[in-house]
Amino acid sequence: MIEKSKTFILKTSIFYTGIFFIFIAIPTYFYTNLELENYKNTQNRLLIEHAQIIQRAIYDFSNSKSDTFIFPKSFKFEATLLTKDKKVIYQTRNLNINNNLKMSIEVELSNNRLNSKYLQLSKKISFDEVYFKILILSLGIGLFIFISIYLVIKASVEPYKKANEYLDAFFNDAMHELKTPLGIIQLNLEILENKQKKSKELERSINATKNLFLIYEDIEYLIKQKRVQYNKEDIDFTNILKQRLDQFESLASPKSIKFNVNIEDNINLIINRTHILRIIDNTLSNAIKYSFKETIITINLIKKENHIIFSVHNYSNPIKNKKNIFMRYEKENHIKGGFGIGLNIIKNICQENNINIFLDSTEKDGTTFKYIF
Amino acid sequence: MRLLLLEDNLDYKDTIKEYLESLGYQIDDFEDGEDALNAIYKNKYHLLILDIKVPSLSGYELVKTIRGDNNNTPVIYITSLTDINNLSLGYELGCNDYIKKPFSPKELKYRIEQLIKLFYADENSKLIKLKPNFTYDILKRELLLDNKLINLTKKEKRVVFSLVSNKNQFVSIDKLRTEVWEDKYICEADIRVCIKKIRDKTSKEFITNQRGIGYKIDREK
Repeated sequence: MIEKSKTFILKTSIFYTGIFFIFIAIPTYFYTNLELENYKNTQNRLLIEHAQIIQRAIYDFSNSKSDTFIFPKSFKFEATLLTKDKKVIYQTRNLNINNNLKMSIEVELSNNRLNSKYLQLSKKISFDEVYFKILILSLGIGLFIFISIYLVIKASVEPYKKANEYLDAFFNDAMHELKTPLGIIQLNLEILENKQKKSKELERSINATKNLFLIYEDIEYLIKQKRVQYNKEDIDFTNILKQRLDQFESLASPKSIKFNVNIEDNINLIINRTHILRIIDNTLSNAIKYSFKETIITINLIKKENHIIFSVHNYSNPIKNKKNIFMRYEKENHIKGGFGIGLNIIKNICQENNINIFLDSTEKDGTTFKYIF
Repeated sequence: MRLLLLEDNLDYKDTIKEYLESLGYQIDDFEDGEDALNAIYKNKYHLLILDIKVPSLSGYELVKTIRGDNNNTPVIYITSLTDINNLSLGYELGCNDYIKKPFSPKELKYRIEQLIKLFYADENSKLIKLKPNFTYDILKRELLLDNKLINLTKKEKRVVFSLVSNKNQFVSIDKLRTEVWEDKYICEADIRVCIKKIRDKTSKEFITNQRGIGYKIDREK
C-alpha cells in the first residue's frame, strides 16, 4: 500500500510538471527570441567598438611621422582593409569562421595614409550560450515545480495513509479478537455433533461456522500476506486434501452434491501450509457454491511426469469471462454471496509458487479448475 | 497417554480438554506457563499442547527450557500468531508441529495421532508388529495377538508402551521407574513382578531382559 502510494505521488508530480512545461512553453519561446536579439545587439556593439579602435589607430598613424603602422589585432575579430576598388590591402589572420556563425560590419574610412577606404570586421557568434542559459533556467524552474508539487501531494496524502494504517491495525486486532470465540464455537459444535443424534439445526450451525471460517481465513490471509513470510514445508498433499474433503462434505450435502474423489496416495509437495489450504478451500467452496443441485463434483489429485495435478470439476453455468474472474471483487454472478476475493487469492498464491492454473468452462461439459504444480 | 495442555483462555482450554478426554487421553491442563513447566519436571508427558501467548512464561520459552534439559517430548503449538517467522523459530527449538487457531477438533486429533505415530512408533502406521506375532496399537495402547485383545492393567499398559516406544532398545529399571511410576519410589522387585505378569499374559519371549541393563520388546522387521 505504502509502496504503491510512493510511485503514485511520483507519477502525479511528473505529470503536473509536464503540464506546467506545456503552459510555459509559449512565454519561453518569446523570451528566447528576446535573448537572442539582445545577444546580437551586444555582439554588434562589440564589433562597432573594435572598429572604432582600428579607426582611431589609422587616424593616429595618418597624423604621425612613423613609418610603420601597427594594426590593433585581436583574436576575436577578423579584420580586412580594402581600397576604394575593394582590393584587399591587409588582412588579419583568417579565423575560419563558419558563414552561418559570422557577424560582419563594413565601415567607411576617412582619407588616410594607408589609402584604404573600407574596413571589414567579422566576429564569430554563438547562440549556444543563450540556449544553455534558457535550458538551465527551465530545468531550475522545472525542478523547483516538481519538488513543490511532490511535497504538496505527499503532505496531502499523509492523512489518508495514516487512516489506512489505522484501519489495517484495527482489522488486525479485530481478527485477533474474533479468533478465540470463533474457535470455541467451532470446537463445541463439532463435539456436540458427535455426542448428539443428528439434527438439522446443529448441522446448519456447523455449516454456517465452516463458511464463517472460510471467509475468516481468506480475510486473514489478505490482511497478513504483506507482513508474514510464508515458509515452505513438506506437505502431505494426499492427506491434507482428504481432510479438507471431509470438512466440505457437510457443506455439499444441503444441495445434494456428491463428491467423486480420485486421489493418488503419497503425493507430497514443498509448499506453505496456508498457501495450499487457501487453494484447496477456495476451489472447493466455489465448486460447491456454484454447482447445480444434485450434481457430482469430481476431485482429482494425480502425479504425472514430475508434475502434481490437482483438478476440480463441477456442473454449473459456464464462466463467460475467464480472465476477469481472477480479479479482485469480480464476480460472474452478483446474486450469490462471496467476496470475490477467493479466486484473486488463488491467483496470487499460484503466481508466487509458479503453479499453472487452467480453467475450462462450457455449457455442456461444466467447469474445471486445474492446477499443475 | 498423558498429555499436557497449556492455554490461557478458560473456555478454550476446557473445550479442548474435554474433547481430548473423550478420545481417551489423560489431560493435565494449565493456564500459566510456569505452572506447566513445573508439571513437566514433575510428571512424564507423552505430548505437550502449548499455546504461545500465555502468562508468565510463553510457549516458546517453555520449550526452549525443556529442550535445554534434554527433554524431547513432542510438542504441538496452538497459536493465534500467524507469523510463520515465529513458527520457524519453534521448529528450531524442536517443536514437532503447529496448529493454527481457529482449528477444527478433527484437525487437532489428526495432528496428535500423527505426531504420536511418528515419534513413538517411528512409522506412519499406528500398528506396530512385535515379536512373536503380536500387534501393538500405539494410539489405543492396546496389545493384540491374532486380532484378540490382551487384557492389561493400567500399569502394565504403561510398561508395554514404554518398552515399545523405546524402539528395540533396552530400558533400564531407572528409566522404567521414571516413565511408568513417575519417580515414585518403587522397589525393583515390584517392577519385576509387573514384567512377569505381562509375560504370563503374552509369552516369555515377548519381553527380553539382560541382567544389569534392562528390558526390551523387539519389533518385527
